[in-house]
Amino acid sequence: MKKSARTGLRRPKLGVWGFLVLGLAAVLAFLTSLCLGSVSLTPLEVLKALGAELFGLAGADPISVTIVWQLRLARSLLAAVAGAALGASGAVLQGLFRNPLADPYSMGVSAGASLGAVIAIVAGFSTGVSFIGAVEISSFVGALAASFLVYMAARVSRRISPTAALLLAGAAVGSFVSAVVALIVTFNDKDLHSVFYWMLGGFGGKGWKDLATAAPAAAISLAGALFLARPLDVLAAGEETAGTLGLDVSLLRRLAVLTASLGAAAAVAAGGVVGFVGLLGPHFARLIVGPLHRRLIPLSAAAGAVLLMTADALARSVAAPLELPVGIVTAFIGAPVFLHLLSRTERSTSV
Amino acid sequence: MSPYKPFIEINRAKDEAPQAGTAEAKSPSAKSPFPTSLDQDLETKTAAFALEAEALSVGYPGCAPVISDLSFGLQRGRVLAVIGPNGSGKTTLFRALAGELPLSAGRVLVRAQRDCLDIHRLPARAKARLITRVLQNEQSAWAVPVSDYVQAGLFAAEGWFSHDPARAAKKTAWALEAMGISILSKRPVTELSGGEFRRVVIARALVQDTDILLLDEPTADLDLEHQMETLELLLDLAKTGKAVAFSVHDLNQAAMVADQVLLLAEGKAAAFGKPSEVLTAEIIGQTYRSRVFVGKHPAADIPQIVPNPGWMERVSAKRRGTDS
Repeated sequence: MKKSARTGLRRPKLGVWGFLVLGLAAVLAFLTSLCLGSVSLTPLEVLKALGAELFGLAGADPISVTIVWQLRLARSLLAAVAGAALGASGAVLQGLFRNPLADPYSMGVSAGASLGAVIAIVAGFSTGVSFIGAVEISSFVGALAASFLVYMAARVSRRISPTAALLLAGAAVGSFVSAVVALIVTFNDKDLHSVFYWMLGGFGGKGWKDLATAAPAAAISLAGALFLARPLDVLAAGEETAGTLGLDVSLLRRLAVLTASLGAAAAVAAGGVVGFVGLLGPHFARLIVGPLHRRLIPLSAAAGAVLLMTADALARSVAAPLELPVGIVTAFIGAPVFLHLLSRTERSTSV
Repeated sequence: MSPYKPFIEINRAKDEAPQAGTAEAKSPSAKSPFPTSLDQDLETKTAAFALEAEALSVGYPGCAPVISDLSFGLQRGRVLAVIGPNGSGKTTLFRALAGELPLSAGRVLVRAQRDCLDIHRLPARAKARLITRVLQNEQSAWAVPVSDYVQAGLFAAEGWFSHDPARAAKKTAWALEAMGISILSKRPVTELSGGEFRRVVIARALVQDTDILLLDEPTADLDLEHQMETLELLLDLAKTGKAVAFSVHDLNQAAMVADQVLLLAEGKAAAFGKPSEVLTAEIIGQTYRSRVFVGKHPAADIPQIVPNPGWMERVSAKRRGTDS
């Protein structure tokens, strides 16, 4: 047998250590996000407060119990859920488009969510006590409607591959819907501030109720994403090759778009349009476990959760008592980190 | 490259008692699932073709058909070379045979055990369990390790849910061994040379392990040695009872390994038959619109094609002119 001239070099992967480090980071980010805020708590106080409710342990300060359980825990979990949904959705769409620059908003989700939210805000649902969570629900519906529109628009095209058509239709529908949002805001400038704040994203004032709204959709999306891992690995070889290997590519395309849109819509409903998490999560995960989706998707979710929990903790502590929109924090951290990753990525693994 | 051996260990382990394996492994003729004395066996087996194209037409409304009214068959244990000028429809033909392109007329029948199936009516996975098609070009989007890339060949058998890691690892290792690239198993596919990647793709085709193989220019970007190895592999695959078809531009490669040659010209069969019948100066000259000289291979009784002797004389004259 002829041996190949080149030896079997292996690019170092963080492997098991990566999982451990990420798990540790998740715990740290979670605790940090419970400690930080307008009133700082020590990690010990936080642990005591958690223990008091969970196991009925004594010795916790009742005020810190209230802060942790009424104000911060639900919010931290909400950030984690949104981050996980964005990370997994990003990994699914990058796998589908075979392009590491795709993100959860590629399907026009963010624009659709903005439109939904703006309609609810302008219509005054946000101030009325009558219909709590109307903005969130409206943005969720808007996000799914936009991605459905993108999907249908892409089907019309006959000249380019259906997947490329999806990407282009996403861009077109996205900018169209954004223009509609701008138009509505122009005629309703009294709501400009709340719309602006919503579009930059944030978890301020969110609680258990919002978690109950977002978590089921995010969970369904995550489960769906895991279920798509094997077919997405087959798709790595290209759509035509994947077809010869027995993959029903159009079925995968439909399921991937549905899963990713649901996840992104859940995240947007939870915390507005937060950029970079869905792009960075999969990139971090790929560095740690490599490109195989059965490992990449769960790790992207974990990375997204860590990123967004940390960003949210920073957003409410950096300029306390003023709270920054979390989208600003993710962009400030995300953009440089992403550029750094790009400079490290080998050409062969990128587009 | 080690000569290709069919992947039978796993079937054995599953279907038979363990002690039966060792004795029979040494004499594969005894109990091999594949016929070894082909010529005798084939008479009965290929009375039916493995794949039959019946009056195949492929085209788009308003355009001239890419393939029109083409009928031929693929036999088990035989290698078919599909040749023809650029744009004559070789790739389209393979796509149509694999059931990936809708037909405007005709049908493709595949024999699987006792059933005779219309390939275009099967779902994607069922198609891929009957026919392996290897594209001329493919590119991985991600830096997937070679062994995982090759494992994708099991998708047709396993589908979206089931996965047997031990069996997958065994079969992958066997395919890499057969292609002589075991040493590459952990390398990312995006970092391979063209020839190495080609062999990875063919290893995946071995893992897919169907009775019918369609390979689109499998020797295209290989060096001379790997071209010969690949051609020999096609023969070895056929020897295990598979029906193999490959497209190729080099007519001599077709002559070297093919049992039959299908010459396509503008979507029609310009000729179909043994290499010595198809690869004649007259037929080739007409189809390729250029005179060729057909001699005899120095080491075997097959035709050897030298393109356009007149052109060579002209060029030789030019080269003498520049030398002096």
